[in-house]
This record gives sequence, structure tokens and C-alpha cells, in this order.
Amino acid sequence: MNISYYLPSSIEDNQTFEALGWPSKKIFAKTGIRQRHVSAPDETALDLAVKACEKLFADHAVERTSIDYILYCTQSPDFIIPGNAGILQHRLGLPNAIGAVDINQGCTGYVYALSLAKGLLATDQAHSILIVTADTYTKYIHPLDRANRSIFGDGASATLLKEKDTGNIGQFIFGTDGSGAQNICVKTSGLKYPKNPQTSIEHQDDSGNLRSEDNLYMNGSEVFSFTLEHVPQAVAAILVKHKLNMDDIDHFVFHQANGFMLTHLRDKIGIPEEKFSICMEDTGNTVSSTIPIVLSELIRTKTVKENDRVMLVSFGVGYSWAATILTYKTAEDKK
Amino acid sequence: MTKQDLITEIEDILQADEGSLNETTALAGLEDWDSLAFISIIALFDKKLSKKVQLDELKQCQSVGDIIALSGI
Repeated sequence: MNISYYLPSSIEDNQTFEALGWPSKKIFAKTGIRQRHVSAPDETALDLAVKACEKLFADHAVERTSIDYILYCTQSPDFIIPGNAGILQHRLGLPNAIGAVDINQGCTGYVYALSLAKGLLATDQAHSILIVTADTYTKYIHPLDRANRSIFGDGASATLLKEKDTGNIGQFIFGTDGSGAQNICVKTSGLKYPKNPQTSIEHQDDSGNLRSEDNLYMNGSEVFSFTLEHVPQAVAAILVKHKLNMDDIDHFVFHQANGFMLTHLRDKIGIPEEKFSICMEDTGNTVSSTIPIVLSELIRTKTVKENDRVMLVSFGVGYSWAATILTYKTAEDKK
Repeated sequence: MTKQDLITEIEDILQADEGSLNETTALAGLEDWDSLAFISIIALFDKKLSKKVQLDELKQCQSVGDIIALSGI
């Protein structure tokens, strides 16, 4: 399993928000984020995805002709029609004899993509799958919404999963509660509520953040309450499914939502600090790319060792949650 | 946890001077009583009191005493 990621070059650090009246020290204390990467106005999630894939191909000497399926996870599509995975196939110069499909999932997207890829590989429908996550949530955020601007960053990841990797991917658990759909949403992002002059009217919330119905809305308190209830349950459920105990897990990689939430969940669940990854200080919350970014860093820094068990837990927009346990095996790079 | 312990925790969350809050202090006048404070209070109740507090309940709180009432202390 090879992973690479790409972050856009433009950086917004916490000093940026001083001008909006929010002290940078408070931002760091409340989010655990020092800076986030932001896509350029003419740079889309698909552009980031192409760069992440090219990096994967270069870093790990991947032959384009070996890929026979693309799973592209985004909630920042270049187009609704056509799907983006096809455009990605063309831009990457991949073969035509290839499956390619978009997945509309947010923070849980990477775990979902692993699950779908495992299914495709295990049933002989594909042999080498390119899993791509890419989002530019910053384009949905109102410039004066400091709460969301301080949390989200843009980014993309690319993972190559081959048949031999399926044995290293364990069981999955999933959860869905659509009653929380309105708590992370862009109301006019589809056809139900078309954009019009009314939807673009800006409103100020109780904390002074500005946004319209065309912007990303997140009810942070409700989302936090949701995670307190469901994430500990997801951890327990995935352990039971594998007949493992907490002590059997070497690394816990959660969706990097925000540092405050992660620390609280870690303490609540009783995960030792040294086994729990918090890796978002320089990237912010990159939605479906947070988990592959952490995995990539664990591999790059050799923090994860051969045969280590790595629990992945993702949760967020939907509401949606999912978990799995990987057994780490060193990838055999061709170069 | 005593009432005073909880007030001290709330002072910490709202970045208020130690001893500056009491049960009658109005929340509306406090600069840091915002959505971030709600999250911190939810986390405090969860961690220290193993108690779930609803966002709507917090939003209805007018005073520090109202938050304490939610705790059941």
C-alpha cells in the first residue's frame, strides 16, 4: 500500500485571522492548527488530485498501465455531470480499460474507499486500484467565517491498493445518521435549493461569523456531541469485530477534525498518547484526506513498523462514521 | 466536583479572572460565551461529570448558575 499526498502552495497561518479579531493563540488552543493550505481561485480539487497521483506515480514508480480502477472521493467536484473520476483517468493518461467512479463522502470517505476497494479486489473485479481523495472546502467558506476558515484546509491524497494488500485490510464497521445532515452542509450545493439572490444574503451567527446559504455551515457543538456518542462506540465495535483489545492496537488514526476534539476523544476512550496520531497542525482539517495524510506521515517517519495494527476511525458530514483495522506491511516499491 | 470547582472550570473556559464569576453572573455580558465555549462546556460535562448536555440547554442558560443547574451539583 503506497500513499502520497499534495497540499496547495498557498498557506494561511493563524496570524491571518488576527485581522478578523480572533487572537492566533486562541485559534491554536481551540483547534490545534497553526496553518492550513488553501487552493488558488483557479485551482480545483481535481487539480490537487492530479498532483497527488503524479506524486504517487513518481515516488513509488507506479506504472500507469497497471491501474485498472479509480475510486475518486470528493465533495468539491469540478462537475456534477460528468463524474470527475473519468476526467482524472484522462488527465493522468490512464488506460481506457479501467473502472472509474466518484464517491460523495466527506470525512469518512477514505475508510469507505478502502472498504469498496477491498470488495472490488477480493471479488476479482479489479487488481490495482487508485484511491484518490481531494477536497477544497475552503471554496465553500465565507471569507468572514473565522470558525470554519480556521479549521479547514485543502488537500488531496492518492493510494495504490493491490490484490496482495487485501489481506492487510481487516473488517469494517459503518454508521449513518442522516438526522444530522443539516449540521454540516452547503444548503445550495445541489438541485434541491438552487442558488438565488436570497440564498446569497449574508447572516451573522451568535459568535460573529458571517455566512450565507451558499456557504459551508457547520454546527460545531452538535458535531462535537455526535462524535462523543459515536466514536467511542465505533472503537469498541471494531475491536469486537476483530476479537482484539485496545492493547493489541499499535496506532490509532482518527479523522483529524480538530485538535481539541481529538484530545478529548483520546482521553475519553483511554488511548495512550504515544499511540494516538494528531497530525493536523500544518494542514488543518482536509476532510477525506486527513487519514491518508497521517498514514503517509507514519510511514515516512517510520513510526509504523512491519505488522503493526493501525485502527482507522472516520466520522463527520452525513452524519457518517466508519472504522477498520489495517496490518501494516512495507510496500515493495519498484525503484 | 463542587459548585466552586465547576465555577473555576467555567472561568477557565471563558478566560475570566479567577474569582470573577459567581452563580448570578450573566453570561450575555461575557465576551467568550460563544460556540467555542459551548463545545468546551459539553467537553467539561462529558469528562468531569460523565454527563451529556444538549446544545439547546446551554443556549438557554442566562447565568453561570443556570450552567451549574444543568450539572445537577
